[in-house]
Order: sequence, then structure tokens, then C-alpha cells
Amino acid sequence: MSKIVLKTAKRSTSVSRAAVRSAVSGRFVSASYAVKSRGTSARKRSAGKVSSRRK
Amino acid sequence: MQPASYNDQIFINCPFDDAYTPILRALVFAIYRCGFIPKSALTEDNALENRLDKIERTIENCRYGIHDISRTELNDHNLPRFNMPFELGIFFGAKRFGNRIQKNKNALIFDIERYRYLEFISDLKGVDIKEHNNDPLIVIRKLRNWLYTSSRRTTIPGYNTIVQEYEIFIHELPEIVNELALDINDIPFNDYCLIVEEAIRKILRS
Repeated sequence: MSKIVLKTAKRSTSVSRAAVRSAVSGRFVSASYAVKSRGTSARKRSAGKVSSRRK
Repeated sequence: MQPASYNDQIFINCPFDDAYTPILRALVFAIYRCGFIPKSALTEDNALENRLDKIERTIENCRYGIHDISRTELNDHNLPRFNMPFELGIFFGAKRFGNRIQKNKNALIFDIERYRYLEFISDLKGVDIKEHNNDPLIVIRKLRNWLYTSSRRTTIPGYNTIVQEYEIFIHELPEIVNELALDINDIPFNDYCLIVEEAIRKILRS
């Protein structure tokens, strides 16, 4: 499988890209390894399964 | 005229309420992770343009569309919300009556249950509608499989990869948002997209 290219878009935001880069720096290290020990229940909790409700 | 990124852009036609936030966040993450760009009427912030103009232009600029018609319940005045089915109709119209480029549009339609839509929009009979049962992980799986089939891009990662990365992302999101002085319960759509872009960029480098 060839490596995916992240596509980005210029948007009107209330925070700068530099600020976001700073906020994510130091995170997501060894991302694929960290979740291997987690089970389905934890997965569903963190993903936030929601109930049906009208908006 | 369509932008150069027409083939990469996905129109998101869904509710933007608090209850739907977990699904919307999963959708946006998975779209980026598959190499596409999410677009919605909330993407543009121009008070001089009316909402329908924004919606029509966004649809025109997107080859792909994700339409969630799951929120059709009656409100306190016994009236249903028609925005999502209406915008789905515009998408169908663009494909049917548009130019050669518009005719290659492709859509993924979600409802809570697979055949429930026949009770309120029977004109869609025969259209393949996917159920998500309000589960973000089901949404990620069906979105990923649809994009893989419809775009034929072999660069799209597997479902397990996307879900594992999304779990880490959603775990880190409160702290990221806190550092940015945003409200975790009310992240503007464009800000959330920017956070996802940078998070995935970081994940892909790790």
C-alpha cells in the first residue's frame, strides 16, 4: 500500500495553524502501538456512541 | 467550474447538534485519514451570502457527499426537520442534470436503521442506504469502505488503523482544545478540521 497524502484546505478559523501545531506537538507518539492493549468496550466509550435524539 | 480539488472534496450533509457531535467528529477524522477533504455549509463564514447559496456551491464543488437523514423526528410543534433530505435532493439533482463532471458524483446515505427511510421518503426506494445505529465506529467503517470502493484509491488505510488512530485522537482532544482555549463541547467546525489536519499530520510522522 502506498503512503497516503494528507489533503488540507484553507479555512477561516478562530485559531492559527501554528497554535494548533503547538498544541499537538509532543502527542501521538507511537500512535499505533498505544491502542493495541485496549478492548472493544474502551473503544466504544472513547468514540462516544450516542443516543438517538432530534436536533 | 469545479475547483482542482473537486475529486477530493466530500460534502457533509448532517445535523450539527450536540447529540450528533460524536458522529460528526468521527466522520471528519475518517475523511481526512482516507485522504479527502470535508466540506459543509459551515465551512464558509460570510454573512453576505445566504445559506442556500453556500450549500449549492459546496455541493457543486464536491464529487462525494455524505448524507445523514437519521434526524427526521418531529419537534415540539410536530414538524419534521427537512434540511438533510432537501440537500440530498439537490445532490441528486446535480448528478442528474449537471455537466459531465457533476454526473460522476457519488453519495453515501445514512439512517439509523436500514429500511426506516421508506416510511418518510419512499422515493428513495431502491437506493442503498446504510444504517449506523448512532455508532461512530460503524460510521467510520461504512465511510471507509464506501470511499475505498467508489474512489478505488489503494492509499486508503484499513478500518482498524483508522479506528485505532481515532481513539488516540479523541482521547487527546480535550487537552488540545484546552490548550487552544476552546470549549470541548462547542468546537467550531473549521477549528475542528484544522485540529484534525495537524493531528493526522503528526500521527503519520510518528
